[in-house]
Amino acid sequence: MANLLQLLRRGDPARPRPDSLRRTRVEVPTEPPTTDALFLVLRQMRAPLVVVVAVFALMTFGLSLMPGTEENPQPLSLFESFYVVSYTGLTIGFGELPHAFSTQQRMWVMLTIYSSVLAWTYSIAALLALSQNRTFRQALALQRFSRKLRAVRTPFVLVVGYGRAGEAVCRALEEQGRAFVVLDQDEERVQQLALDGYLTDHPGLVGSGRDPRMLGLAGLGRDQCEAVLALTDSDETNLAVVMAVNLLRPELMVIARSANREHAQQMHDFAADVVVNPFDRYGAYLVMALRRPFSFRFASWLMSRRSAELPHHLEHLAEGRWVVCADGSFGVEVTSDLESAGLDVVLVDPAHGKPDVSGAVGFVAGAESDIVNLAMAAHARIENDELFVAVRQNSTVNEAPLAAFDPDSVFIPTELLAREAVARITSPHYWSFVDHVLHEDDDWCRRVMEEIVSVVGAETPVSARIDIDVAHAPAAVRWLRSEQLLVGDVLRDPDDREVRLAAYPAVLVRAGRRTFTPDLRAPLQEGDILLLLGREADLDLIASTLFNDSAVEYVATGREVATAWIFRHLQRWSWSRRGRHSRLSDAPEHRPPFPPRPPV
Amino acid sequence: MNLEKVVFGFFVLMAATLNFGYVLGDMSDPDMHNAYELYAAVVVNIIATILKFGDRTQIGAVHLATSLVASIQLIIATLVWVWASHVDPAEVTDAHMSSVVSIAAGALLANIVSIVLLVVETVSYRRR
Repeated sequence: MANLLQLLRRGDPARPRPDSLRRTRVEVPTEPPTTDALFLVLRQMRAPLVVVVAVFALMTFGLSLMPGTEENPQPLSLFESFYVVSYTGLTIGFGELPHAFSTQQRMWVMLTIYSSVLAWTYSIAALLALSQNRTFRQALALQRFSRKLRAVRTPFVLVVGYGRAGEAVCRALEEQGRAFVVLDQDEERVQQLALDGYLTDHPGLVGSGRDPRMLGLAGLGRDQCEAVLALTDSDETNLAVVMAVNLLRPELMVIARSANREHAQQMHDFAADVVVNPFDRYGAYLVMALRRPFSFRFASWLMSRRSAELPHHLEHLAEGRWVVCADGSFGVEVTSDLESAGLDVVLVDPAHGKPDVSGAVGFVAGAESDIVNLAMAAHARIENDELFVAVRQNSTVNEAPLAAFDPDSVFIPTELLAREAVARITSPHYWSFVDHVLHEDDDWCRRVMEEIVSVVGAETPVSARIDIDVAHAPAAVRWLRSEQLLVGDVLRDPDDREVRLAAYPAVLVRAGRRTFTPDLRAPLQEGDILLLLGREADLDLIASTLFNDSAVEYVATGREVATAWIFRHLQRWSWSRRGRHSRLSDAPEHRPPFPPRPPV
Repeated sequence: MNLEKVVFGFFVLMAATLNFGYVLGDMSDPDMHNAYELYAAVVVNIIATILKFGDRTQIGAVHLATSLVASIQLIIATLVWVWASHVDPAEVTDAHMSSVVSIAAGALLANIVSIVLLVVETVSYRRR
């Protein structure tokens, strides 16, 4: 019954993004702000080259006028002069050709040597200076980047801002085997991308996300671009990215980070798919942990790689005073979240020394500095041993001491942001389920989590997406054309249909509408997408079942159908004598080639 | 006044005038074609070509192309002349001279196109 209600209330169709504010279609600009490298070389080398040519021309001309010796009174011809000046000017020196020179000729050759060497050194120095020139190197880097980008043939994600959050996102994307391109305005960060030891070489470009041309250069206009992440630490830049994507490529998914509500609202105006404010999110999680402990446990179990068990005695914490010691917008966000949940909160500025935590039940150390946070948390723990301590961790540098201190909750803004952003891109259906868990009430979460744990065990489950279509489940599709296949049948062991495999149906997507925790007795249709949570081996087994006609018939009906042609005929003959029949056709159907697995 | 334009125009015109001066006269008569004039034409043409480097406009690209044609033609003419006066035992014959001059005349055509382009550019140029 609850399922039906969900369908009405939050059966969000997984449609492409809503129409943007775009009124006319404009090509994504890719005109490079800097010029290309060869052009720069040519432009800069004009003067040196002209000097070299002029010196050689003048010296050749002069040499052809100098009178010769008494034996050979003819001056050198123009050709001979040019020959002599060429080897002399290039400091090769063959001596005096075609015959010994007169004094005048020698004087001229001496002049030639000095002037031509000067001209050469000038032009070489100009070339070296050019290779050190910042604009020139940027132009070279840009050309290298464009070459690399052209080589990217797979769909890629454009990551704007390669700070801590960007790095975490890129790591996660690489784990998922996704291609990505990085745009950051800090040259050092882009160099860091090359040094960070990814398995493959990912293109990185130095440029500001505020410049749509830079976004275009970084691949916004390419068909392979599938999503854009705006993760810079400047809200305005992130807003600029969201605007550019919405107006130039409205069909792309865009996820942005924001630290203040005003900007978040503006991003939503431009139809950003998701705006993640890690500060706000943390406050919400904290409130959830206090008010809806089961939802929180369930959600963190689904989101974590290692099952983070939370202390169970959180309920009483909702009844006392909370002290938040933080600066900047983090303190404001957390305080407002806790207050809106009806808690008694005191916000203290870290600059005012050690906060007074006597009589408090919870303490949040949220300063910008990890050292200050750890010091405050330690002091709070000394003063009040029963205190619930939450610590904000700003960088990975102090991970070890903080882990040893073992606070009750650790807030790592970048990790929170990265986890959510990557999950949304790589497994939208899985994330929709997590999102659903975040918003459901405690009883539902408790019930469903117990169900899942009873089926798949206490470890965080793996998710798999099952498409009921000709490409991914040909046998199931053939079966469905004449018969019925239930969701529960798919989860049966193809060796013994009474055994339920370690898999739990989390989401059923039909015609773009999501049903969460579908009933096991619900019949499947062609074109459905089923998101399963479970153990990897069992999920693979389910995927293979859907390719095998006999296995599908067996899990659906319990009839064991022979797979070999001759045995099937024998079986059919023996069954026809007993008045039974299989519904399998004889003609082997042409199967399409197996496409790569879509994201979960 | 734009000094770059002055220098550029000077060399383009100079390349054409020297080339024209060399070609002028009876084709097969070596006395009517001064080797120094050919030499100067080659040098000035090469400088004019270098000056056209790095212009990214459409007309700049055409400029560079015509200039390259003229330079290459003149260098070929020079090579033929060197062959005639230094290698061939018969010294500079009428046949040699007429082929040198005809190749240089080809370069003149390219140089005339260059001048036309220069004029077109100047006429269509507006102060913005």
